[in-house]
Amino acid sequence: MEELMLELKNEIIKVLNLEGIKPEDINDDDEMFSKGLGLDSIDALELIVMLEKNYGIKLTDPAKGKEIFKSIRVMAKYVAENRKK
Amino acid sequence: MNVHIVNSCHIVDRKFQYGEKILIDRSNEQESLAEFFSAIYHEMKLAYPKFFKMDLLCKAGFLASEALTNGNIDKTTPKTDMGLILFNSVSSLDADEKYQQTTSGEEYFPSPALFVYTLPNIITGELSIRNKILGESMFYVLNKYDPDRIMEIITDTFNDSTLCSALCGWLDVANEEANVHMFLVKRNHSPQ
Amino acid sequence: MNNGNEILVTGSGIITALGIGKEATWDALVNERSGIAPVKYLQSSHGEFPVGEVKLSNEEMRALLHIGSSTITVRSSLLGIIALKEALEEAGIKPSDTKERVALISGITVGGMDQTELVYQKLFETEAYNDYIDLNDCGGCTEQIADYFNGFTSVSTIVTACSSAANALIVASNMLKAGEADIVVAGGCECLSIYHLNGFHTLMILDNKLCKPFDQHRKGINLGEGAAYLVLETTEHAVKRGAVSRGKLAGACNACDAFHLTASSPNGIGPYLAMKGAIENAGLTPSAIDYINAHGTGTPNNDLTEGIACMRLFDKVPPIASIKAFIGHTTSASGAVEGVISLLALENNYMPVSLNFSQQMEELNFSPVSNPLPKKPLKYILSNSFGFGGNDSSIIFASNK
Repeated sequence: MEELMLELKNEIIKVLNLEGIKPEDINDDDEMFSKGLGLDSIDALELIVMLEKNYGIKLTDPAKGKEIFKSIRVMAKYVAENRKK
Repeated sequence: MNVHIVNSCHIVDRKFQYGEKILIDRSNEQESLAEFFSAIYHEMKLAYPKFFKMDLLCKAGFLASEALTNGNIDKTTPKTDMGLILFNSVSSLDADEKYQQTTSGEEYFPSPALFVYTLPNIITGELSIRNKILGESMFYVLNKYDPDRIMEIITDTFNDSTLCSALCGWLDVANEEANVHMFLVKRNHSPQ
Repeated sequence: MNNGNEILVTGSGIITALGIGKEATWDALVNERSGIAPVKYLQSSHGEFPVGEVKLSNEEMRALLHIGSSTITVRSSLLGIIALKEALEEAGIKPSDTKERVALISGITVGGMDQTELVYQKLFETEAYNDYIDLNDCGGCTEQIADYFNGFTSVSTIVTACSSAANALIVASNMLKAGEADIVVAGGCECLSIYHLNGFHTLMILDNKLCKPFDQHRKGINLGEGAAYLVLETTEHAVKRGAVSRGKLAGACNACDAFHLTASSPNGIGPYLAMKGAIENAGLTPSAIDYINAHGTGTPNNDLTEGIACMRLFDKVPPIASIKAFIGHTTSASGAVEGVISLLALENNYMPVSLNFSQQMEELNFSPVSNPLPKKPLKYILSNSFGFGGNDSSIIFASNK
């Protein structure tokens, strides 16, 4: 799980162009959206694309994204349980 | 003419010029246009992380407009009497190409963030969000740089609106080159 | 506005999923026949999304326009030429045959991408498709439309996404008031493309069923395509050349939402300022508006914020409907397409309904017009076109009466 969480942090930094942010700056349990990284709805959509591209997980309801991307830990758990790649 | 130019900013040949003064000259650096814009961002000591998500057209406009508005306007108060009137000839070509790449090849993953930037007027969106500009905003694609037509359109816009000021300019960004001339323009007298 | 300075519409033309021309369009609207259907012409793998396609192939449109096989064309230009033809014929104008200054302003965003996306890879391998490069960009399409008719003294393109054509009408009005042209033909054209169908899909704002504007259970947009142009001139000029007024452009306003690149602000400040500004520009009060042609895309976000903005502005929201359930979202062309439909509504004293509606949104105190209202004299229609980037435009069309 630790390895997956680090992998996700690196992917998020790359995919969302989070300049100057390193994996150690992202806490495992911090909220990613309203506070913390301050991500917005378009970032959420990019993460949905990343989930399909990297892990074969297809999300059709953008509202589900909000639950899954609550924090790195929640996201990692979801990926571990649902990944096809 | 019903308007006057308050100040100007130009980005040409990898130089960043405010008024007559070249503030940053990186014409001898071997770097991409994105790296050039990042260097200006850091030299200007800006603190706006969203900058790094922008496409090259928006980055160019953002940097030029920061030079024009710093100390000149209040970025926190919504302004219904300020507008944005921008022009170019290549539209959002750079973002278009990058988005197209995400839909080519075997693995087909269109990027939502890149798609958003395939509209040249997104730059008016970015600048309006940054500076809380709620007045009229327009983006025109002309055949080529035509200063007479540009001034005509700007003065027409001020003729029939309650605008007091506007960020205006020409921003051609394509093929790793930027040709940017932006101005802060103000009405000569306040409307009655 | 004083009478000498009024902006009159002396001709208009339209093509959408409902058919070619105003007559076919109006017939479909009155008989509640939607033009939205499964994809037929666009070579997209996303067959699950209903779209408002113009029911003609490019070859069929070329044949109608007598364009020879050696001329490269793109779908947006073909749509634009067909609509412009109807407009110019009704207005009795031939730009090539007059010494008057006739300007063209067209709103478009997709450009010639419907063709370049098909030949894109080949462009790297051979020069045989290079002619498509010039037509790829938005200005190139407008030039192709202008060249078909010849004689326009100035040609401009506005690219502000879904508010492009509405903004073209605003700029046209400015040009006429500044005396920079004698006649301005303004509007927009846009065809479907794989590029933006995929783009909207990746933003997750498309509905895979028929869209339901202003319905509690709305899910998103059905994309559409089309073109429309309006011939505009001042009253003074129209009277001088004996032109007949079909309606008026009574007021307009463009404002910035300044909130997010693709979503509208929760309190709808941009839409509110645009509508309020247009009403004030026309010298009216909100109670004068008889009908609102909403932007009404059917997305959860747009319909909510547009609805909230209406409730802020109007003590009682007048009859309101979204035409997009008939024709889909024609994106850059929508301001002009829906403008022409607004003028038809004024002429016929009939308010087109909002299809696919069944349940009022819980946040709003009004429902759209879902059943035909009795005919009554209509004087002012407010038409909204809101684009990505928070670019919000509203236009007031007035009848001649």
